[in-house]
Amino acid sequence: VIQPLIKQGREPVVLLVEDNADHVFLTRAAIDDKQLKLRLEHVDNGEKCLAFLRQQSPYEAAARPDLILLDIHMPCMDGYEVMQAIRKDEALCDLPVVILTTSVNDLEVKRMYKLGCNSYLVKAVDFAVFAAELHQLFAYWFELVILADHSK
Amino acid sequence: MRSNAPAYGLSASLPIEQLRALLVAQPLPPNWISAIVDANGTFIAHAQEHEKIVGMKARPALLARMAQVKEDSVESFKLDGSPMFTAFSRSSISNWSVIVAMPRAALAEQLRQSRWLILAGTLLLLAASLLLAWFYAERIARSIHGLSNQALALGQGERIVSSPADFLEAQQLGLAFEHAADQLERAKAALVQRNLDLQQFSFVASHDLRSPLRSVKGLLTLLQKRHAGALDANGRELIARATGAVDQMDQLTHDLLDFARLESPARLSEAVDCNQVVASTLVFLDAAIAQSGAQIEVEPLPVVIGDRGQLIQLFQNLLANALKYCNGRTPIIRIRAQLETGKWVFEVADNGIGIESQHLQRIFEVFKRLHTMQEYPGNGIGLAICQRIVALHGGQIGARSELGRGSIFYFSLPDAKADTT
Repeated sequence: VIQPLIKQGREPVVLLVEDNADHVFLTRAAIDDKQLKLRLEHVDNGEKCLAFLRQQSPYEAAARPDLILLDIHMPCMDGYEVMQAIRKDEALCDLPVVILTTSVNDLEVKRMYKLGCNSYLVKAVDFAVFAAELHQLFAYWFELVILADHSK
Repeated sequence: MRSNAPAYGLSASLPIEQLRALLVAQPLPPNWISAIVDANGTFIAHAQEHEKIVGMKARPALLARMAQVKEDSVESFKLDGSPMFTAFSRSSISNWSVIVAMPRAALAEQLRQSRWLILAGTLLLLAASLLLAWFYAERIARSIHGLSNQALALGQGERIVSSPADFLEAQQLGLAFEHAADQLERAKAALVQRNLDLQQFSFVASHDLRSPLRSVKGLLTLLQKRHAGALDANGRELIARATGAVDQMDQLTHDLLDFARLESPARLSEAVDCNQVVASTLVFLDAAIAQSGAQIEVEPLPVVIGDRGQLIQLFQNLLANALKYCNGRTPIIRIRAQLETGKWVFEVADNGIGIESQHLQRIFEVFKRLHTMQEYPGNGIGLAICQRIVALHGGQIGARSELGRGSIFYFSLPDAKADTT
């Protein structure tokens, strides 16, 4: 029987792609704060993200994430390129990708949805609000929706 | 005659009346005749007996000769039968001919063959010069018509098409128009690019400012939450102050982005019911209204043409100010509108602290503030946003005030019933 991830008794793996170390710190703090049951992996640019997903060096042992949190503005390979590469890759195209950014720009939102992101989320400045947002986001993806099954 | 000919040519169509005026203006003896006939030999203008002759055909003898050659002189008869010497010359562009005739009786007896030839030559010359004048008048009219079309297109900011002009001055003027149009086009493109750059800059700046801001605020929250116990009262006050400053900057980046976004043109096609706009605004301001115990009277408001979101922001900023600058009194706010010369003039009146008259103009400037953050918090963008929104709707905003008694902010918006397109 296909069911939401949380009912399969497996700890969700989330890959955070974010170049700002403070934001990574705050994301971890928010997860701790809400005592969310998940494993947060982190890479700080687009190339590393794709290497992680394809289990290329140095990520040979990386687990396939259940959800990707993707920043847009990053040095070298930015969020758009990563989004495009994921949707074009037969093995990765069904991965849910949530854009997690601080900028609200109508053009960016449209462009990202066109490239196939699943949601576009603007991180709240207020820490408590941000923590609540992450809580809701993970509840949706891991407790409510059915994800594509890659275990078999 | 040649010098005043262009004065008759300033109309592109050269109507019959003007053709006739052209003929009448020629200094011919009173019993001479000048006329114009069309390609079929029908009179279309006649200097002496215009009403009577126009529409009639020329005499068969004259017609026969005209059919054979372009210009010549013949012996002919007036309609009343009196004998005439008649010269004609046909325009090659329109096939119309100019005719000049003089009475034979006046000259016949003294005339010898040679004099007749001279006379005939003179008549012919006259006819030809008339024709020339007419021809140039037409060319000038056409050129000026072309030029005026170019000037019109230029004025409307359209791409102009140069029409071939028939004389040098018109050609040069036409080139000047084209040059001006090119420069206008380039300036326009540069302006559009600059606007795009500015908008892009404001997005990038807002993102790049908000990103570290968010870090500082989050880290301060964690510091307060996890380590406040390890700090004394002074340490905790520093955290509170830093948090306050960050909040202020957060609001500033928000409002600046709002202000920058207003550059994009408002959708000015929608009919917006201002009663609903104010109702939405009051919901947004619910907490502030409840806290201050404000009384807000809203008279029935009209439907206007505008951008709903922007109008909500306009009312929200004005009402928020009316609630804020009250000096501890219970705010009483009145909103109404009346139709004045096709536009609705809205008023938001309060009983607040008022504004000194010398500041009334400048309060709409961006970052302009009259109070310290301690007296009344704010960043001086709210009224600048209002001003920009009203301007984008083609209206005007202003304020009247009496210090200590209250202020009335007024602005105009286009009426939905008036066709503004």
